[in-house]
Amino acid sequence: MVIDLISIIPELIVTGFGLLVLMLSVFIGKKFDRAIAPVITAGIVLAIGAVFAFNFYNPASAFNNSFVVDNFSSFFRIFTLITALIIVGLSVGYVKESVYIKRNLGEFYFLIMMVTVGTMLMSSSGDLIMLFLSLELVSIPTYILAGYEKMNERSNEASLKYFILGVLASAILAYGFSLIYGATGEINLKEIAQIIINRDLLSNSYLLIVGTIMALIGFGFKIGAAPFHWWAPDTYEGSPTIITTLITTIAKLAAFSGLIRFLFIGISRFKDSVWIILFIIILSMLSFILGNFMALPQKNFKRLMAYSSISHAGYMLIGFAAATMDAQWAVFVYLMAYIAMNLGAFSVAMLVERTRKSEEIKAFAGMGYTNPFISICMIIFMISMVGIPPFAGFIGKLFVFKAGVEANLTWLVIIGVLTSVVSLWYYVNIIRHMYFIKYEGDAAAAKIKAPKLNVFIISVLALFNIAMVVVPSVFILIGKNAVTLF
Amino acid sequence: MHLQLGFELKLLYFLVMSAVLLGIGIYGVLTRRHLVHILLSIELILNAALINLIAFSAFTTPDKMTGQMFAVFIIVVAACEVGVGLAIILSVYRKKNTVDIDNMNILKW
Repeated sequence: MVIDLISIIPELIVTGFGLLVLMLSVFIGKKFDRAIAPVITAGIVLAIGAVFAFNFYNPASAFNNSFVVDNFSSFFRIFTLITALIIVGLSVGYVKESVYIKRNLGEFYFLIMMVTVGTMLMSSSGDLIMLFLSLELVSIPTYILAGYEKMNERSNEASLKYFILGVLASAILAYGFSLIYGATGEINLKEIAQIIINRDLLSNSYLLIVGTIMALIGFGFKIGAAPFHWWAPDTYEGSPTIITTLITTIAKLAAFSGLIRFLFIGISRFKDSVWIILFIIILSMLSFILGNFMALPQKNFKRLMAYSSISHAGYMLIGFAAATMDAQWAVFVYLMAYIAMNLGAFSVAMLVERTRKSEEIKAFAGMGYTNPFISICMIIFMISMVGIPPFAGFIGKLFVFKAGVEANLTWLVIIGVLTSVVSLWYYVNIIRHMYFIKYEGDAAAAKIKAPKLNVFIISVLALFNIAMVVVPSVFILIGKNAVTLF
Repeated sequence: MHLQLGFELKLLYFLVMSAVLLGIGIYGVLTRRHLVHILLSIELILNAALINLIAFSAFTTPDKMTGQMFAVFIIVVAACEVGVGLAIILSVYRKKNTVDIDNMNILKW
């Protein structure tokens, strides 16, 4: 019992601080608003400390093996908490200017904390029930957050579309899990893997294969892979920008960590089944083809980033299709690069949106001369997204593609490289707007207001993007350590 | 199963039933235009999963309760989803005065 509680101390801390903020904001009222962000920050920092103190390199399993503490979960929890910390940092200035979020600040931060807890639980889940529940714990608060601007039609619609497709995905996922349970008679991921090997189920049980593919459909919805990506552009565009950032980073992290747990631990021999591999390859290929080509005509920055994140999901799926040991840490490294560049791009876009009141790509016009530092950081993020050498995106793509080639998927990698050339066009388009197009609008909005906190966060993220190329060995080591226990 | 029904209950009956429910649910999501109907269709899919779990639990692993535990959790999650979903539908209705999915077309492409 005690060891059970020690394993979940970080989650308990995050949940506790979320509830604390919720309750205090109800009882103290408006006066508490200024203190919410510092309290939340303290909670997250405390949770990071708790991971280092109790869980790091200290494997354990709790609650009848449904909650597993291993290297992957420890690294992933720290990763998630740092992402959450950055999002809270970005939200401080943003919420002051948003009429709706300002009105219910306590609930807003409470829901963000719940998404964080869901992601942390997801990365430590040891059985199917835990996977399903933590996926829901991530999803349900994000449905609410996407519709947080209650009187804004676009926000309503974004939330509605996200909700319907998200719930459909969870339902199909649940059905898939029920079939897997039926085929193996177990819900514990490690025991499922054992039974599959013992009884050779992947070659003779259609129940298991259909179940796995249905679960993959469910996860595919959540990560925004191609035939199931239709919610992504609308939800990204309609929700408040801070929530878009949350959906493209933490919610995606959750889905990917769930997928890593499910495929690499649960159905660990999925390479034996042609159908499953074929399904993943189709998802991956459609994702980067559709994502990159659909992004070309976009005029709205958030919608553009939605298609870009679809294509990134496709690149990460190459790692799953390869399914080697190297592919596992390659996916982890890619995730780190993806989070760094996406957070960076959105933090710049958030500043632009706050000053110029527009999310169009046109709003970036002329900022290269009025705000040189931020613009240079934005160039770093954009080039990193394309995957051109001196920045993080390159390292991510490099290892995933390498894993793909080693697993004889060279043709898939070639299509991936070619489509990532296409992506150069629309990312560079933003840089073109920043430097070569004059801003025609309100003269007062020509210079973008950049609070110190946001500039600090942007420069840290830019440094991270550079660091991943300067000392890739550190990040490879982190990735390798994170997946060693598999 | 030892029920006095005049015939023997088999696992297959339950699986066919749940597959049919799944089919109806997906068909409903794709064709219905009213948001509440869509929500109900999704509930049908969740219930299909539920029937599956309980049937597998009763027939293949009768000595363990894991499948039924899972079913209870799915019921809880389904209730949460309906709560959040109806709230979202209500806020859409307040703004637009309609819950027809064809009118949700501000955001496209």
